[in-house]
Amino acid sequence: MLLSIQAARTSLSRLPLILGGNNTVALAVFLFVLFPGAVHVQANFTAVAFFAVTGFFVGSYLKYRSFLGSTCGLWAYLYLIFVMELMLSCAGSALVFASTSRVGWVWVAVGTNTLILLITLLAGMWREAKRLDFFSRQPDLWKKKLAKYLDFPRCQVSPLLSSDFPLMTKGQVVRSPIWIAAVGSANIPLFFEIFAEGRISAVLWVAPLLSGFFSYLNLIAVGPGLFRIVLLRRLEKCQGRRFVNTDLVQIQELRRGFWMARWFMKDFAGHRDGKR
Amino acid sequence: MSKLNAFAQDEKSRMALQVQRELSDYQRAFPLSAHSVGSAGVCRAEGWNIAFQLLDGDFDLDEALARSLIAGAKVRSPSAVQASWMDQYLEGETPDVVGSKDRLMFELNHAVTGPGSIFGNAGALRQAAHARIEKATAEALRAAVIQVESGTVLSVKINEYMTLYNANKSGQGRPRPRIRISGLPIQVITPALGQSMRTAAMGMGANAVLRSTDMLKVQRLAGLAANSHWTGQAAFLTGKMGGGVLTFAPSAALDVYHSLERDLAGDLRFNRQKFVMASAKSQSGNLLGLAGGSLVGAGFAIAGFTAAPVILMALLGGVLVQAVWGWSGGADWVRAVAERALKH
Repeated sequence: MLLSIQAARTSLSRLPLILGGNNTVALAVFLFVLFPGAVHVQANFTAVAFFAVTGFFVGSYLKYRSFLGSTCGLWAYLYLIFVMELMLSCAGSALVFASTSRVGWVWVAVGTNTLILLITLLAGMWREAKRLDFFSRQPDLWKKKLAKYLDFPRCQVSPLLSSDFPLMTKGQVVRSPIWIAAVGSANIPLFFEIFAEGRISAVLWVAPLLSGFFSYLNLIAVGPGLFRIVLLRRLEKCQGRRFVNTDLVQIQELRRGFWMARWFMKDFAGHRDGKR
Repeated sequence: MSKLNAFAQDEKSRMALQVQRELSDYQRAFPLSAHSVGSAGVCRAEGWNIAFQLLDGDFDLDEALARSLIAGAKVRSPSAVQASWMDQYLEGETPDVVGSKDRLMFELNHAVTGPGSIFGNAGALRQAAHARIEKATAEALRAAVIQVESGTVLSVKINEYMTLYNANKSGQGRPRPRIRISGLPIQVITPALGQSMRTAAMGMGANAVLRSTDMLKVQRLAGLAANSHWTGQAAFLTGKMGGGVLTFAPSAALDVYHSLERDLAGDLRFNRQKFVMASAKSQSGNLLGLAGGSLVGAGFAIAGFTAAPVILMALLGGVLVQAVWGWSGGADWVRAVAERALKH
């Protein structure tokens, strides 16, 4: 997805920690559920540590030096789908079976969950293709429909291209609501501990909710967004040059305030009014 | 046997199995030696009452106990007991072949709830078989059984607590060995709550906690809430997970609650070690849940989602992280680390 200046203001400076941390959480949850036991502990820790460090350095690159164009957007979608969605929800559904000692069903659950998420992703892409008349007789109809996000003479693309969907921000700033959720996520298991049979019972609710909610996101936002990024890359191939994120100028301004930016940042001016 | 009767039998053996499983879990978690609190009759918050009592009485020789004794004797000297009536008595009346399910049910039924058994309760039976009756006692008992069986003597003193005697004083028919026990100190483990409370478990318990002024009852209900063995029917829900500003205070309150113990004199005691260990277990999970939830939420926020999906994802992510932490043994590991740090 294309990073907008609003999203960059809230969390671009913390992106190394966010990516590293998310890599840690997602891979650790995934590996420790699917490969439990003392035999795998060392391998699991090594893999998680490697993935976390990778996340930190990729996050640092994105924080200081990335152009945040379509390549970055495509990788962001793949990251969202394969790490955030698949690993977390597969771990959840696997834990339902693992915690009930039905070990034979664990991989079936992982496979089914993956299948559901990929099918909903494809369905979301299909839905967007129909909406943009991608399959119609006129070959370039979709280009006209995407034209409102694109500035062809300046070769710029608005971040709204990938976020003009329900449940996604269209220029407004999200004040960090994470603490509310974090407090809840510590106390919901506590309720399950007091009134049900321990914190593990919460998984029986969380796993289907995770899969269902991810499927919904895939249908309405992630799938269509991914399809638009793919179309954008196709357009770039036709044009012979990359489109530049409209907000990149402002993001560069923002980056100059980051810690050690003078050494880490590549201080290009960006494209203002099509001139360097 | 009518259907209803059969159903009652099944239910009885099922309950017996359940009680025995809970007890064995409990005793594995708290070994007897480590659990003897010194003063007699300390009521603990785990849902079981432990008391030291002196056992007096006259009992028929319990089948399960005797069978284990005879089996031990058989291994050592195959010819000694083989032809005895006790062998037939013990082996003959069982309904099914060894290893079958019916046989297991029958034996468990008699071992735990059999009316004539020496120790009518599974905990005491286990203790008698494993702790009190050592090898010497077993030898003495075996010898005594053989003596009484042969009819030569009417009673044999096995040790300072036990006397085996022949209850068939008429001299006709086969001898009937009974055992007289006087002043045998035993540890009695009984459920803190009755059978009816058990079925009412969670919902009723919570109401009773809020209304009850009787501290002892409250404490027992806290034990009920703490112990996941209680509603064993929902086996897929059982898992021993630990009990952390708004994130950490509720868990801390629950841990304090579980660390309060009341002795027989009625004094409340705050078990500090227990609190530290429980906190290490619960708060580590809360901390990780907080971190995991924030990270997943931040990830979705920077991806451009609005507040609703971000909150929901942070919530679900945090809960998932906590569940995996507890399930994979991380919480128990931290508790063990805290315990080691306290002991050294």
